[in-house]
Amino acid sequence: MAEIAVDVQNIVKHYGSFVALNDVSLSIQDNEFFTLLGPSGCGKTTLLRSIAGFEEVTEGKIFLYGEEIEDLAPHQRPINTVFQHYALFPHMTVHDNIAFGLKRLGKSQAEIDKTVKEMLALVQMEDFGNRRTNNMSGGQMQRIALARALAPKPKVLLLDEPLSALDLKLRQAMRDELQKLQRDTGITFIFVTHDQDEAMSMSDRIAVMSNGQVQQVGTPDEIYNRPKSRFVADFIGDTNIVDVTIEATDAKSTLYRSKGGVGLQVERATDLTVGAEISINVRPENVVIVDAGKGRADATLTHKSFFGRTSIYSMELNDGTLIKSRYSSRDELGRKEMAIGDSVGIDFAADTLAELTS
Amino acid sequence: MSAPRKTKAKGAGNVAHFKSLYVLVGFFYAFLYFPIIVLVAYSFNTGTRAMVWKGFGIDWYVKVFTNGAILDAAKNSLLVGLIATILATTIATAGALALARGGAFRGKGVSMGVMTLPLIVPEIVTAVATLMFFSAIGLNLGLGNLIIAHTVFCIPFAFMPIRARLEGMDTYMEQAACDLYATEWQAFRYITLPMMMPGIIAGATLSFVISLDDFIISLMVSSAGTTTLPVYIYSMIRNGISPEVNAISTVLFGVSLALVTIYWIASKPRK
Repeated sequence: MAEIAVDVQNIVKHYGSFVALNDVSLSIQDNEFFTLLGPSGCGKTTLLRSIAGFEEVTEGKIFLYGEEIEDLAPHQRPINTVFQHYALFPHMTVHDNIAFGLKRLGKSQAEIDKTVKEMLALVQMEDFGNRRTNNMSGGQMQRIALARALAPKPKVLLLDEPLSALDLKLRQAMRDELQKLQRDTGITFIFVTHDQDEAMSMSDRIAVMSNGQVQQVGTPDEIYNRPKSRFVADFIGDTNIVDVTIEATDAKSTLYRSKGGVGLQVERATDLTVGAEISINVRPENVVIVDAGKGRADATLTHKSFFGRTSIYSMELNDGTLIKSRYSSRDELGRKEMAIGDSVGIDFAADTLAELTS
Repeated sequence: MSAPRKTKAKGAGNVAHFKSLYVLVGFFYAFLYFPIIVLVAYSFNTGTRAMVWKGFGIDWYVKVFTNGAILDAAKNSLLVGLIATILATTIATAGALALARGGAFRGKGVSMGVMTLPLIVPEIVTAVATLMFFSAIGLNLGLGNLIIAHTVFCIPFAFMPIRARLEGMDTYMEQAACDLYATEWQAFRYITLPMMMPGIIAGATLSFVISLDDFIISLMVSSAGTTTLPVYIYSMIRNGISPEVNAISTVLFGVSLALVTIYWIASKPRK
């Protein structure tokens, strides 16, 4: 088990009567790219600012490599932040921006100059040391902000939606760079975003948050393929969610029955008991369209949308439940054409189904 | 060929299309600047009569700069202006910081109003009130009386550009500084203060110009030996307009123009 970098224990944060963080606990490991993901207002930024020291927590403890830090001022915490709008100091050169934290730490001038040079090289901005920041592009300011935050070699780097102000192409390029930067420096990154693609493509682990609580923590694969709650399944990507009751279960298979009476037999055991009311989740790309009568359930094709790379087929089960199936254009080659109103069967591999208990 | 078409049909709403307005604009500038141009031109007149042109020369400037009474008045003006500016700018900076960075406190709106109210109080009212107040408490500090009076009416002028500057600065900069191991005092010293400096320079310049040009309050509060330049010029005019007045007024105009230019450059929003 790797060392724990940041240990958040039962954090509660109130703003008057509004509860921004409701009993949040998280363990973020050393040298991890960890992402806090959630819609706006879910508490992810409040949590980040609590770790940085800009918010005083109402209750709970925060440990940084074993040391309790929730009562320390921001300048006493060996943690640096990349702000959403960069917050570069406009009256200073790029060099002085990056040197600011090092100066406060009392480093020698020679060491400061050396580190600033290294940092500029790290973010590929070697020639910009003497420039001011006002006329730079968003991507350049982003790199300077990164260099400035990394220069004092913080134990943890916090990133508050740093890519949201960039245009799409640049945002995608910066994702790769951030990931590489994390690997090269070995510093623990805590990244805040509302963009699921950003979270999925960069993170070692993700904490999905909503309403001031952590809904689920896991690798991108776990979050996507094994969501535990309706919120997580729905927030990450497209999905099919059906409300069901467990009708029968044994060591090898489980029978789910939808509210409208459609039965789904799946060759997989469940930990839940017969009679439990849950939802089941299958991603559209895992739903296979087969001939009527040959799948797990029969359905009628109601709509087809072509997106170029993929097509989405919408189908209705006999009880009216809408099921979507996604096919890549490659998979469609040579498949027989289907028309709206056709009777079809739907199938999916047993291990692509996830049970959502909340 | 048909009649020439109106080519700028797209410019509906552009007031430049109302040609007759240019005449009005012409009148406006003429009334505003013609007297000043005449004053400046006649300050280079060599004749002894103020309004009869004899020839070009700087005789009157030489006279002004060798006139002990004028130089004393100018020295008073500069001294009062300088000290009042320093005091007013310091107070205004503290006030603007309290209002923009002091969080919410009781009486914030009232403080803002009280700070800027002197701008709309008629100057003669302030002048009479100040004179009566000083004599009531028996304050007799010579130039000190003038400095106090000038500091007071300069505060709102210094306050406005500083506050405007602070309003445009979000607290993320200070947060970033604290995040980079600066104490709150260091964040203020290295980030807040330098960033608000253009506002402070603008406020100080404006204060100095206002102090330098002030007449009514200075007339009431000054006594023998503490005459300021505008008050002295007025006393000269009462004895008939001499070309010396043109020359000293031109100097005052030049100084004010230079300072206002500094103010304008300093208060220009950063790109």
